[in-house]
Amino acid sequence: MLSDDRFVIKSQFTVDVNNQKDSKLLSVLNLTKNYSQNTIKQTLAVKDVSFELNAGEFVSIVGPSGCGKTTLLMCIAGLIKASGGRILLDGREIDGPPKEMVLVFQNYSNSLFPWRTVMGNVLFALENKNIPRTEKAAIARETLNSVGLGEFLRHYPWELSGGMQQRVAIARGIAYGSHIILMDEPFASVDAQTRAELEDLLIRLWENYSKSILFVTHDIDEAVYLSDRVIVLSRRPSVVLDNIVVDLKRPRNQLETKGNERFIALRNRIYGMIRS
Amino acid sequence: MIFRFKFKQLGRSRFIGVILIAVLFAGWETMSRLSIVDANYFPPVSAIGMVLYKLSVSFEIIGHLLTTLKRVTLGFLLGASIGYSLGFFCGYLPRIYSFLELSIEFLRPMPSIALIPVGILFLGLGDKLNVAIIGWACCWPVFINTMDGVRSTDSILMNTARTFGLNRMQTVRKVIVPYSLPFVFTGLRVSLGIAVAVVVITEMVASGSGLGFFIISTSVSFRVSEMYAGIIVIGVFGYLLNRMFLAAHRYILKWHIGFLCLKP
Repeated sequence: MLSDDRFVIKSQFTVDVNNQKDSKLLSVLNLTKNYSQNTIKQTLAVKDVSFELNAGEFVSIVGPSGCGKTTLLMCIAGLIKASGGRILLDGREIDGPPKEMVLVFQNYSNSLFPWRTVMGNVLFALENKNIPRTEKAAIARETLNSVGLGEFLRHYPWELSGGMQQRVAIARGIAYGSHIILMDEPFASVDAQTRAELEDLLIRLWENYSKSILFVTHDIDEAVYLSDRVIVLSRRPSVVLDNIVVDLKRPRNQLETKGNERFIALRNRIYGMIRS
Repeated sequence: MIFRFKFKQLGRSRFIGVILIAVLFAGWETMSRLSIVDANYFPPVSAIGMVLYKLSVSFEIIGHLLTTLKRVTLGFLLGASIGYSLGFFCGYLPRIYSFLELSIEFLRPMPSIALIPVGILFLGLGDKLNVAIIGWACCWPVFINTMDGVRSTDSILMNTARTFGLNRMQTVRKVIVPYSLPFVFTGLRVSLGIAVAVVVITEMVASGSGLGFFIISTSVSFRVSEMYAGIIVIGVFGYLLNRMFLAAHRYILKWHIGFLCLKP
């Protein structure tokens, strides 16, 4: 309760960080997803979820484990069909995986092609782009440089550590050139230190390449630290509990930001919502 | 941490294997010389070696070897390509497989040797029959493994291809084919061993040439040393085929060997 009060008081003084970024890029309207093995045995994973992602925004989705976050993201990515509701990208409904979006999977070791080198994996994203080979190589090299893997082009993914593999997956996502990057708990299986590094790297990339990111995680600290907004989902079948603007100034810093009173207040507030 | 895989580790223990063979041969030689075993049935290795040398110089055994090599190669290629196509098709389209399953599972366990009499009726004796029988035997391991490989293609990799906008054909070419390749190679390796075994039998039963024919004909005419020479040649032949296959495997699936060695 205390943290809630503090939030209300403080929020009167905060400025909406999304002032300049208010063009709706992606809208999810009353999305539902029903997994059915047969007519009797049905699982309602997503009950009613609506939210928006604006251009240039970093939005996280948090919720208790098993609440249908991944399902939601798969629907948005066009990999599975929603049972109801609409997903609008720049105002038009999506039908299959759209060019403007790319998904970075949680399980990096299964989403990289073990028979392709690091370079080859990034080039995979450019497979269908109508540009000369040399230009593709240049793009791949540039994005790999930007994630700090410029010296590992000829390595195979399985020769790299988990954190480095996830960097390859991120570089591949960026190389694809879509405006929106969807990420499904990308840092869930790396150690805490690597995780912090990857978080800061992601913020840097997001700023440098001016992408819009929709980031699914079960880690509340991570969500608050990274995002402009956090969407809190309920237990399954999921509905949106709250949509919280994270009014922490950027650039953010692992130590300062996470020690900040405001950060802790936001985190506790979300934590309380998910627990109850 | 960075790992780099080294192939050197593979060759170390092979040297000891050569010594083992030498010891076994030496044992045979002494047992035969000292008449511990009947030298009529177990002539000394050195005598077999001499015979082998003579047979090679006179090109008698080389001709048979080349015939066998030709049959194995053609039969293996025929069987492997049919097995691969069928396996890929059935793996990629499970409905087709459920339609074909009964027929395939009826044909598959049928010993290729049992088909020799049928083959003789249609193809006569000689190359065609041998190649067909070997092809039949080689088809199934490749079929089963290819089908499994295609079926088990990782769903995350498939989804990755979809998110990057690859169409069906591209997904097949860029994801399913390379993913299933290690499985295919397992099938091919099994098939190659079977091919060598089957060629000897078909040549014994239904051919007037080849190493199998050479072995059976020297045996019935009691040319024991020649018979052993033939057996040694077929053994070395099978070994070399396998080594060639492994070299190709290492070259083509370099990534997979490293991948397996580093997997926790």
